[in-house]
Amino acid sequence: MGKESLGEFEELVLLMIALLKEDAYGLGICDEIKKQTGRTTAIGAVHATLSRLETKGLVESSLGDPTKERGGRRKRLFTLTAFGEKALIQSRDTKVSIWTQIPELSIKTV
Amino acid sequence: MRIRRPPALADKFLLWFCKPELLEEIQGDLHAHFERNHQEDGSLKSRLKYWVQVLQFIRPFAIKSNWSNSNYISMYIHYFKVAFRHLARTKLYTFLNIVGLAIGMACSMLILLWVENELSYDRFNHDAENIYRLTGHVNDFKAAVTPAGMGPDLQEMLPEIESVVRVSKFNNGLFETNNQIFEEDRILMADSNFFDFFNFKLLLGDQSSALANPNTIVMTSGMAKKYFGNDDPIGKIFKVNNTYDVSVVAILEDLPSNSHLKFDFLIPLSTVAKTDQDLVTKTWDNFTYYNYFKLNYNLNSPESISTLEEKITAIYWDRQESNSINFKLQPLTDIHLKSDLQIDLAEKGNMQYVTIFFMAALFILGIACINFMNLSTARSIKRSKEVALRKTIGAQRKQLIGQFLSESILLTIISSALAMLLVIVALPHFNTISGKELSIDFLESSFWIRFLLIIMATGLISGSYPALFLSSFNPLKVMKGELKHSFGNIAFRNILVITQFTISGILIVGTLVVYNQLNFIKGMNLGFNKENLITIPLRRELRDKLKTLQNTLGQNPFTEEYSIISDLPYDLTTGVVNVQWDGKPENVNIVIPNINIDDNFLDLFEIKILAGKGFHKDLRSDEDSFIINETMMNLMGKDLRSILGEKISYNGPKGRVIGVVEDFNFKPLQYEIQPIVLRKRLPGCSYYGWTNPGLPGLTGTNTSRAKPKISIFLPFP
Repeated sequence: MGKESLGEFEELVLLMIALLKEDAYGLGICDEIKKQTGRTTAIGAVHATLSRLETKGLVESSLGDPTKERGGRRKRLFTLTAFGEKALIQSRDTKVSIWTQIPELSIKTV
Repeated sequence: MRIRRPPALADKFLLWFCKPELLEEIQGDLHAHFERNHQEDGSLKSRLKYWVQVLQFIRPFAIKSNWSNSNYISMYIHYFKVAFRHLARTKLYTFLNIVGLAIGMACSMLILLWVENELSYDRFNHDAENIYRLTGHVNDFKAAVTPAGMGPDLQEMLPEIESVVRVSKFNNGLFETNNQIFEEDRILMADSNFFDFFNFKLLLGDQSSALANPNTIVMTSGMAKKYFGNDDPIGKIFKVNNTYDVSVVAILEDLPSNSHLKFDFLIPLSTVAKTDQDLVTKTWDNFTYYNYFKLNYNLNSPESISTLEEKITAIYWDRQESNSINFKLQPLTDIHLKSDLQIDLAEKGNMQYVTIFFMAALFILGIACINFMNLSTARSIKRSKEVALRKTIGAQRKQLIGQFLSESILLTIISSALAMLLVIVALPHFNTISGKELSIDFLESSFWIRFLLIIMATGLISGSYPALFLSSFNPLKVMKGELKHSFGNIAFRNILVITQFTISGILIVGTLVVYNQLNFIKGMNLGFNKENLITIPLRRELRDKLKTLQNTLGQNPFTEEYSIISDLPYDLTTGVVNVQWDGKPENVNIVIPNINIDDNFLDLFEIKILAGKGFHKDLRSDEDSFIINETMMNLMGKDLRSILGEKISYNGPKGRVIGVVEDFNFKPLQYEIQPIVLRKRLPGCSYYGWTNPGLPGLTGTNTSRAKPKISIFLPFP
């Protein structure tokens, strides 16, 4: 399982979970993606990704407390596993390492 | 406060397909999101969004896991597998069936596209239902044109008329800009409220001010490209006919093909308000304008329209002290298909053709369906064992019908995809033949809905009989090998085949008839010789230099024999009611057309002189004389011996008849030959033609040698 690489959207969702810390759940992640990138995502897509990440062992989840606005339903809160953190760091390092090898492009865009 | 709830049905649906262990978190998120949307977007939109979001959860991770290996799913997978195996086993049959159906569907789709286009004329205008055109009828002579003064005056008199727009055709104009000259002939002039009536899209410029000022012009984007390339056309100046300047103020999107008005340029009428006599005098006499009325919304019954028509006619009779003309209001949406008016702007469609083609489309699709049925049932024996086995292990007839129907729908879907491809490939060629600019709007949902409907209808119709037939097998008989075709089955299939052949026969015979008809028209004796004859419209400059032109033509051996005339004997639509002769009966009140000709015309067109003589070149008195055709002679109640010397006045002074010619066609062939008067007048001529009998097959390509030299001011197209 460790050899599987992260998909673009998977990585985005992972980052959001890291960013939101204790309050990372489906709709919240959706909102954060909208806030950070301007992308509108289907709630279904986020849930599907979360479920996949969990099977891959990159995140773990537990049920939170019920809230009124959700009609008394509980949220499923997600946190990164150590393996998830490692995958994120690895992905970033790979990219940074490639970026440093193309100085022209990085100058242009910065 | 009422609690706003998301759509209950959507929730039920979610409950139905979603894994129970995921339901709580998913529904929680969806409800929270709905709550927020509801406050922002209102009820309807948020409910719709909720549905969309629920549907977006139809993903493998959320769907109940026991589904994927349920009996239902595997049964359907099995159906498809069996269907594909059957299709793959008999490739030729499958090919015939699919291609046959595809060709049939493609033909029908093309025809239906055409039909739809014909029926959609002018309906893109928002107020199409309330727009009418004023038309004038004198007995059988019905004209689309009415006087320029009538529209505005009537609007003041009659509260039923909300607004009026006048349109007039601007005859060929020379447009000069940037040292380029082009001759344009699709030019209209209109009142400033033109765009309130006709909703053409403006790409540049402002709709309310586009026609507001004189000496401006609105052009289509295609034309803007032709003149200015990619430059900004706004503010560019045209010199029109070497007389006045107009500046471009707005650019129109190229006109939709389903508009009866077709133009490249639109000039406000105010530009000629001081020079156009019709506008200056607010004439009620001269029928040259197109008056469009927007009527009050309450006027929607046929009775109220005919009352209004009577009112208008009464006002006209009262004012003009004449009762020969009746006025009618023609609905805008009828102009293309249901109009038989003369001097019309629109190229005419024909409602009959639309109906005929629509029927043909249905017939072709019908044939394709029958073909499909026959091919499927004929092979039924091969599948009888399958049916018998299915029945033995407990399949119900209903299920078998379902199986075969879904099979035929599957086949229809494949053929419709192929049909769509065929249509896309054939459409450009079809457009060339039909002279239309048809296209399929793939973004339009109504198109897909209809496409799906056609697929479902074709699939169900063509699959119905095979499904019923195949599922009726008695397993016991099949297994014993006793299956025989019942009499009813054979009879039914025979009926199908006969119907199919009959319809094909009718269509083929119909095509042959039309083909022969066209050949007949081509070979028809028109009463004049059109072989080796070339005609060129005389433009303004050439008309002004008529003498020079005549000299040039006369000196060139190619054009020695030429004639200059006012109209081509091809589609003569205008005429005059005021034609008098001795002994003209009171009740004869017909429109008699006239062609102004020169002394060469009869020779050049090889029109036979039956009595008297043609015009003489140098005889000035011939200018007051008349040559008439046989029909005119008969109308006057004379014969070949008594006609010569009779006096006629054609909307003017009296003159003698000096010759009678054999009848020749000057209108489309479906019209009877009518009386006509020929006069020797040169000014106002608009065509010249030449012929050279010594050079058979003189075609358009080598005419340039004969092109007169004075054409340097003239942009030949």
